[in-house]
Amino acid sequence: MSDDGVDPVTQEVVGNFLQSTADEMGTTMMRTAYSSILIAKDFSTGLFDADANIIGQADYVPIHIASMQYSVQWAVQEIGRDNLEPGDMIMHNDPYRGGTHIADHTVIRPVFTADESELLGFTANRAHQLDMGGMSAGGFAGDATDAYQEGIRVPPVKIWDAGEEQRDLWKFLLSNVRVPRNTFGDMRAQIASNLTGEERLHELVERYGLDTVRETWGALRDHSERLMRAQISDMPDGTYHGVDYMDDDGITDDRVRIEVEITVDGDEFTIDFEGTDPQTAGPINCPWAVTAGGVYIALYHLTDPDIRFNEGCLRPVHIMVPSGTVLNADHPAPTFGGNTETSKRVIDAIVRAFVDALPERVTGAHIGTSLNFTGGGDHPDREEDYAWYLFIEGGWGGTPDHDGASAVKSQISNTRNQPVEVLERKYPFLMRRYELRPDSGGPGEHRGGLGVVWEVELLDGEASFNALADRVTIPPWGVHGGEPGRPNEILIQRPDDESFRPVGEVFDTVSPSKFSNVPFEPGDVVSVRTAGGGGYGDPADRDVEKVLTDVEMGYVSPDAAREEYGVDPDGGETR
Amino acid sequence: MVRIGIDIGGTFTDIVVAGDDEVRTHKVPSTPADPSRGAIDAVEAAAVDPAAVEEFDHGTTVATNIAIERNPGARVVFLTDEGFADVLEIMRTDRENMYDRQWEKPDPLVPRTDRHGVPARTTVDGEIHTPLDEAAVRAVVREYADRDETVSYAVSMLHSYANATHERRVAEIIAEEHPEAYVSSSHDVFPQAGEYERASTVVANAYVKPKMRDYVERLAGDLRERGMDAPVNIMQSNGGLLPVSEVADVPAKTLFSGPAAGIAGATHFGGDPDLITMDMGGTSTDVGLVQDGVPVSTTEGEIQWGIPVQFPQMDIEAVGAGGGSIAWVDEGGLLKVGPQSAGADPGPVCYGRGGTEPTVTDANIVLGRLNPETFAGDLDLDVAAARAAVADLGERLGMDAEETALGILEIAMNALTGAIRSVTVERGVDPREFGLVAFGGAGPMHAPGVIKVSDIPRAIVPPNPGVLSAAGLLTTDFRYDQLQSFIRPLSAFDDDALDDLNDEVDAMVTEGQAALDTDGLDTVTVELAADLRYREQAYEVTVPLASERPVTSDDLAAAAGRFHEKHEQLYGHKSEGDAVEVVNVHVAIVGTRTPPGALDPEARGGGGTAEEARVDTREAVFADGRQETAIYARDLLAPGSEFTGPAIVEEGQSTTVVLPGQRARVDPTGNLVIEETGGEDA
Repeated sequence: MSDDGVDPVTQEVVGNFLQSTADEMGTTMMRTAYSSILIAKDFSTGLFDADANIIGQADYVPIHIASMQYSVQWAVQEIGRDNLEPGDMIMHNDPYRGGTHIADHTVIRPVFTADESELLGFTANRAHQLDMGGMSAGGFAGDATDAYQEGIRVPPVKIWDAGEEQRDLWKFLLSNVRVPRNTFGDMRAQIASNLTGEERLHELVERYGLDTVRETWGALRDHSERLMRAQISDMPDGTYHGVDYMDDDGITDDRVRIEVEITVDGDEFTIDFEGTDPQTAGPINCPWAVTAGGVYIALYHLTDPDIRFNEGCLRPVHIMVPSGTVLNADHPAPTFGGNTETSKRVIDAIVRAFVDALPERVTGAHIGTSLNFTGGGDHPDREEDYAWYLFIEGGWGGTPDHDGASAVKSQISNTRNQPVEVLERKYPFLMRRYELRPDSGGPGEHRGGLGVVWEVELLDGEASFNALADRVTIPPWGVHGGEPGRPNEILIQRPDDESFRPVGEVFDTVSPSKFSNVPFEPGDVVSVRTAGGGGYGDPADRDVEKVLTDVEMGYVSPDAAREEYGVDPDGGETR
Repeated sequence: MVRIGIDIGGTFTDIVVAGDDEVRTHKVPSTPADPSRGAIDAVEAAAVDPAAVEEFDHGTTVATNIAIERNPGARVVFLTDEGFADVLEIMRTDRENMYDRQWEKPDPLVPRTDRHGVPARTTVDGEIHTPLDEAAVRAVVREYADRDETVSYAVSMLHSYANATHERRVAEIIAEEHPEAYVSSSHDVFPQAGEYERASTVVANAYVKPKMRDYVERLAGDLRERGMDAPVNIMQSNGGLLPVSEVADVPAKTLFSGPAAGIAGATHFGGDPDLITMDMGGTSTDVGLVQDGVPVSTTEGEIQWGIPVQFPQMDIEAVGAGGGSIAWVDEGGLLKVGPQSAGADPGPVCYGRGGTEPTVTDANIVLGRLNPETFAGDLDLDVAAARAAVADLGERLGMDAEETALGILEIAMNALTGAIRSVTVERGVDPREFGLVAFGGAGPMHAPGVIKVSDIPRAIVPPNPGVLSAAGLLTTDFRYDQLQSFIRPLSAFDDDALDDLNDEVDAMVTEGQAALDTDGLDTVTVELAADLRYREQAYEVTVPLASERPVTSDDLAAAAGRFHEKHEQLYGHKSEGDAVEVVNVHVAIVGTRTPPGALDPEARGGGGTAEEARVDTREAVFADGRQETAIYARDLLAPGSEFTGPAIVEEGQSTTVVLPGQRARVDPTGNLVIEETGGEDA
């Protein structure tokens, strides 16, 4: 018997059951969803005990790790635990109430015991909604200056009140979004997902009894805490310092500083963001939950990614973020890009702090942006508006023993791409190119992975587009002598242009990567070229054969082989 | 006359020779280096009169092994539209382990040097936007034609499911310039929208094609040399047979055939139209579902993470719990089982071949549930070593050896139950109406434990569970599956669209009937189905489309009705007011035949009462302690005999463990059926 009084066999069985239940909630979500965003897995599912501690979560979107718990806790506190009733279904998306950004809707189901006498826990999920109104179709206005421009904020409300669907609330909500059928379909998928989880929790209690289930949930949290503490103990004690920057905030072209000081002391991990810049006018601010999510992702990167995530993992980690900074912004600062962009810089700064202390765990920097590309217009063939949300993958950093992966979504998400043959059916688009971007990977003994070239032409109708991206000015860094990857670019070619030019230049935006409502006209081609990862180790130490293979494959040009690696692919003198 | 079924597995090659009155089975070691030799060895071991063989049905994982182990496959040259040749490397941009900062993406089957984009473009409506640059195609092909090397082309161009003009032309140019090369075209192999999955499927086909063709030709040649002229048929992933010539053309249809024959056998012998199948081996367990006598299939398959092949295949949930799965204690003090396996080598600790970590099989040995003298054939098992290993593990948990062994089994049973939940409850199917058919080396031993911790009412162990797959080859149907993307809303099906649809369907029917042009089929029928979805919904549901051709607008309306119903069954809601659209049309040509008389389940007999079959007693441990346990010899149990647990039934290398609180009976077809008596938990 373990200290917790629940035998280790039951613990393992229940732990696996919670995991498969969270996974099953995800399956329900994907199969009932309307939008391709959800089928691309831009959502997370979780299970919570009666105190809203997370006890199980499915692996879909890393940045939702930990942060969903804050939304659930906030909702319970605001509505009041005593006001929760069987049959309730709560939803909310407020970044200032434990949320992440306005697009991420959390739907929460209080689960009562089968006889409805006691609150057992919660099932919840968080999903990215395609459009929540606001100043730009599909969200992600790169130059928003307050939360009101970013869309409609929904505080914790009961969309089902004791089993009664609140039609007025639906009407109100759906009148404020651009693609109501889509939004309704996806939110209904979120509800279905929670109901699946509820059924399974009831099965669990039926089998083991309420007391054992509660005890086991506690034991599982203690177990994850022990594993996390063991991992932290393996890190060398000391104080570590890391800094990284955002290119700009979309409103001015000043870079924005993220600074961390981390103390590892035995099995405790303390992180202090003192020195981080104040909150910005533009939409790269993080609510606290997003910053915390970034910290946990970084910690998973630096330790064992297989620990079953639950509230126990949070206990040895202490996060201090000065309020009023870009990582703990005060209302009503805009936050759309904090979740997808600045969160990555939190990870980058933390990883950077450990470059020398944990050389086997770190890598060159990854693409460093989600490269959010949104927009909308009137569909020429359908009598309705349309909106899109696309985000483009890039290269990952070189690692201690192999090259970085090419064309992978950033470290804060894990969604699939939108197939050309699906995109062209939904939108009046013609994809012109979608291929790897040669020479984008940062040179190194282990090269950074390659970004992509992704080009889309608007065929018909009126439209406009928005972007919220980063690492256009400051490229993904290399480590241990590795060189940076090539930075991101967002370009456009108008019908009469001979070549592509940066969107920022053509439309005179302050930022090259953050803007909104740029006109998109038939014949315009937008070209997104994403960053490669940073290299690991000195390029001069790269195996000559590997350089030659890279040239043969077209990953590296002959010129770059000569200049960056000192290798002449034409058979001349090499190093 | 007899028919021969040969199933090549990783360790053994099984043969079943069945005529009207007699069935014979043999096992010979597999010969992975040259699998056809194992097949020939099996034929020789069975000493069959070649002239008496009327049909040779074969299950092989040759293609699977080429694709998964890349041992290697062919040099594949990939041709697509300019600007899109990296689709095989970009993949779907997600990753297998989302917190692993050093994740390695799988290498594509085709390196970048052999991927070529040529100027060409078809739009989503099937219109030509940029005509094919034929000179560019010719230039690429000539370069390969000049080399002295086997080349297998894979052609997959954007929107070719809507208009295959470009792909057809590319194939023609290859035939002109490089006539000896192999060619696979996506419109031919897998015309479904979604460029990555389609390209990946056609590339996998091209990759295994040359070696698979060699294999089937060599096998047929070897059989002919031995005087056997009978037709040779091969098992596909979809659980149906195809004549060998058809398989040589699209060998990717066999990539997931491993579990198919077993499920076919379970369907035939299980004695129930609704079944859950549980094929438990050394490293993992495959769980499948049979509804209304038909195995449930899917098109979502991968040869490795991220590399899909989307032919219809048995819908299997594989779980890393097998007899060889290793039990361990993690840093936080929890007992874990798998996914590491001791495999066949070194095998469990009790095999005495160097294994030191206790496995599921060792737990069974510790509990006295396996006979150490017979379980592993000629190998005597080392009970003391197994006990010591399990006891060591238990020490770290504060549990004794028996408690630990019971814990290992409980965790494994629950993992299996989770897999069963995935194929049933998660798909709106109530497992309380299903029987659990167990086979494979470890299936019968654990199925009674699974029904104890789940809602499944009974476990079914067919006779001879060790060669169920080979027998299944002889009882299954022939089947030729085709699919065509045909995307439009129901409201857009005017007469012209219906004509187009029927033209597509007729072409598929003609092709499929030609493929099944083989002797010995009793009936050949056409099954039509469609994938429907609510407009813009991202996921489809497959429903029957029509029972006769041509497809009419009434058929479409009826299909929409079935779609609403099934959507509600699967996902708990439907939206009858929403627009429905057709996505894909499926055509299956099914050829049935009469299985050999001796494989008719009703033909079984022999044996005596339970008393007469009781050969021994042994002490075995169950949840409520150590008990004197009856041992029964399976081949002495006649239909109608009944007994209660705890009991152990031995049959060659198969062992069925009936738990306390369970009752077992032999049904009229010889199946051992185990049910809970409703007593207290054991």
